[in-house]
Amino acid sequence: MLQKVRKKSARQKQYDMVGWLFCAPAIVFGTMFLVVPIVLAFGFSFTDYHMLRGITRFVWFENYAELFKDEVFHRAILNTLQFVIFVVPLQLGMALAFALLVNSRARGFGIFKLAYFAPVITSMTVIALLFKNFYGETGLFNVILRALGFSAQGFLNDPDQAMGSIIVMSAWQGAGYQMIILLAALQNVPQELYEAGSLDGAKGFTRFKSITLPCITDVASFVFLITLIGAFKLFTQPYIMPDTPGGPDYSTMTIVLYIYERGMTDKLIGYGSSIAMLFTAAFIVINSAAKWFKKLSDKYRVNREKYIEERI
Amino acid sequence: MKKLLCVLVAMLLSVSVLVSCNKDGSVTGKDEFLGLQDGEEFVTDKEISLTFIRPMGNDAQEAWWAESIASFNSEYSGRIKVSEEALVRGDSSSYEQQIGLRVAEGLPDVMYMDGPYVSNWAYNNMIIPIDNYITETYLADFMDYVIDQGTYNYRLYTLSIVDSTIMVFYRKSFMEEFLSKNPRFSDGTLITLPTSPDNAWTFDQLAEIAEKMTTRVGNITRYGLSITGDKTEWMSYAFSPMWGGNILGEDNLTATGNLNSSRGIAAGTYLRNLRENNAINPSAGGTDFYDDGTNSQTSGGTCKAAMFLTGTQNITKFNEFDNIANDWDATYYPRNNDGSYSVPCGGWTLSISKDCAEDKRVAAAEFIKYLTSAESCESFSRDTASPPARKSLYDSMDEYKSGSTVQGGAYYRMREQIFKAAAPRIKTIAYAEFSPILSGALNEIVSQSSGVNIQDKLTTAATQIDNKIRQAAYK
Repeated sequence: MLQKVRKKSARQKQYDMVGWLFCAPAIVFGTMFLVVPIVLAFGFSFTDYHMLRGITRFVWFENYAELFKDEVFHRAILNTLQFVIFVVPLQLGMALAFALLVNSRARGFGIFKLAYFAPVITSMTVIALLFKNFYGETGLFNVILRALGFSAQGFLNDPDQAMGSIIVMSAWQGAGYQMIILLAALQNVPQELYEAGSLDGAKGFTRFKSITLPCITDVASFVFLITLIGAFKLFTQPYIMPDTPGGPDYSTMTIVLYIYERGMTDKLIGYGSSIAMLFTAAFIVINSAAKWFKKLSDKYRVNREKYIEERI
Repeated sequence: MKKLLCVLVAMLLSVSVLVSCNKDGSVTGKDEFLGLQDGEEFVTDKEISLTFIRPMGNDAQEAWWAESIASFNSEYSGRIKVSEEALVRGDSSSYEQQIGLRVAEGLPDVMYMDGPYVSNWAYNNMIIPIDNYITETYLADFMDYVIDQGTYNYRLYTLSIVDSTIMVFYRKSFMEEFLSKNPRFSDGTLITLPTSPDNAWTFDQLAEIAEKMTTRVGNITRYGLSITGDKTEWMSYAFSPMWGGNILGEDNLTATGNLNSSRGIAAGTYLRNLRENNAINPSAGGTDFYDDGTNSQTSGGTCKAAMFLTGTQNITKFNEFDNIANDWDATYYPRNNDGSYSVPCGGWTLSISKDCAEDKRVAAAEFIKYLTSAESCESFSRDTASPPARKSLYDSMDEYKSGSTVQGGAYYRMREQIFKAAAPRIKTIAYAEFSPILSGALNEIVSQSSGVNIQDKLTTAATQIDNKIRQAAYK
């Protein structure tokens, strides 16, 4: 049976129009700079598109097949994973520690909020150049090491230390942003919970584990997700800091840097696009997994709260 | 359904790009002359507008470009009007990348491009031959290697105003002090300054001198030599002669077996030893030789490098510093240890793009001829301290004349080495793939703190170059 469609009133239509107008900039720019590039990259990944020669033929899956043989690409995947695995917990841990310190409202700690946030508002390029200098043979870190009686380290000039050096610098640089978000979450934890907790004798770590942590879980998972996404997109540091982008010995080559190297420097737009499409697909899977995991933990928490309420 | 639509849109857009990318300019056969004869004046019914693109240069170069283009527009007023755009080049191949990105949308009419890329751009049909527009008599005055650099597949594509070469620059005060002690090479012979390209120091001798000249002044180590340059291209430009002309094989497209040959490994070992023996500072800045921290300091007490193996393009920078403007001199680029001699040369050069409309090409050639005229070459050469591209200027410019005492005769020595053994950088259509990888490998050989396996490093570089050449489908 056909359902009768209710006609929209003129007022409703006007509301809709205003709504669409407000959305228009986001739709236009999102389409231009997000949807169209993704669709184009998808198309290009099946061609031999060379920046100087254009497209001469469709190669179908040749670019993707080539990726399986590309050792530098494999190295870039491993390096990116290494960066993500180390930088995400390190950065989150530092951010949480900073947030707890600042939130303790002890005298003089306010200045730390500014100090921790300062690297976030400084250009990554500037920080990368600064740390490149610090990590140099006669840089700050080697001066300190020598003063303490240790031998100088290669840092960015040592394939075994280069990625570690970038991880430490990146964790320090990004922690301030996460700290601000976590701080806001900490300040929203109801004081009465702490009061109730203290009546039950909760102190120190127990108080943190049983009250603070559950109350900031939602925000923390959001922070985790944006840190994860940011970590996968690592580009500026390995491009600027080592003497050769992604070096030495490709030890700091990451997926996004490799897309740039192949697509822009080598002008192989088709090949670069195929890496970008694989990266996008992998990213969607990881993102979906993270969201699914969050949904699962939310469900578990709701069930647990329901169970506790029932018991009470 | 939505996904299918996306794929279809992607295909359609790709096809549209395909169409826009393949609008190559027509190329005329070599025998058909389309330009103006020498002395013939350019006439036109209506003013022709030309676009010109170039990289941004230093102050001296910028001033020269501004004056030259203004004077061209004034001289050709009502006939040709040139509007220029200067792009930031940076310490990488970003200029070439920016030009590459414009291929799809249309290239400017005239482009100033780096000489080693001529084969690459010609192969990719980005530029057209100019020998249809410029007479052979006009070209006769240009240095052979300049013509060689601009030639691809027996057609001339570009013409230069000035060129560049590499020399061993040194601080006179430090060198005099060093030589006054009568130092000797390890074989017992006295170290002296070379008097001609025939007795130029060998690479090994240069290393030995650099090692001996490294001293500690106060808290600062003054290294004997600096070899620092840009990260993308410098090392391959400066040291590829050590391969003895066979770095990419006979086809100029095969790195494996050539780049990592015994000569390559010897070159890599040489560079590594410069570091190991404290002849160079592995983390030196590019200004260590000439920037003492203040441009009025004359003692040189804080100078960090006594010698600088670098290109002539840096001379204007030296002269900006009062403390070394009269304290620098230069000797010849080193000979290979086996006595063979090849001096790396090559510089920026002018080309006409494929997108320059046919009715504009004669005007574009006129613009190139104006910029490469004897007067123009001389003024650019003088203002930027670069060796001129024209032979005759070496006899008419005082600094290059025999017996010149300008800067202790450094310019005359520049002339001597150019006339003796100038060679453009390797002419390969895969220069864009080859040069950054070789430079990267050589940079890492120098900068890596420990555990460098030179053979592995060069073999990896060679494999990467071959892979990139294969993927780029060069034939």
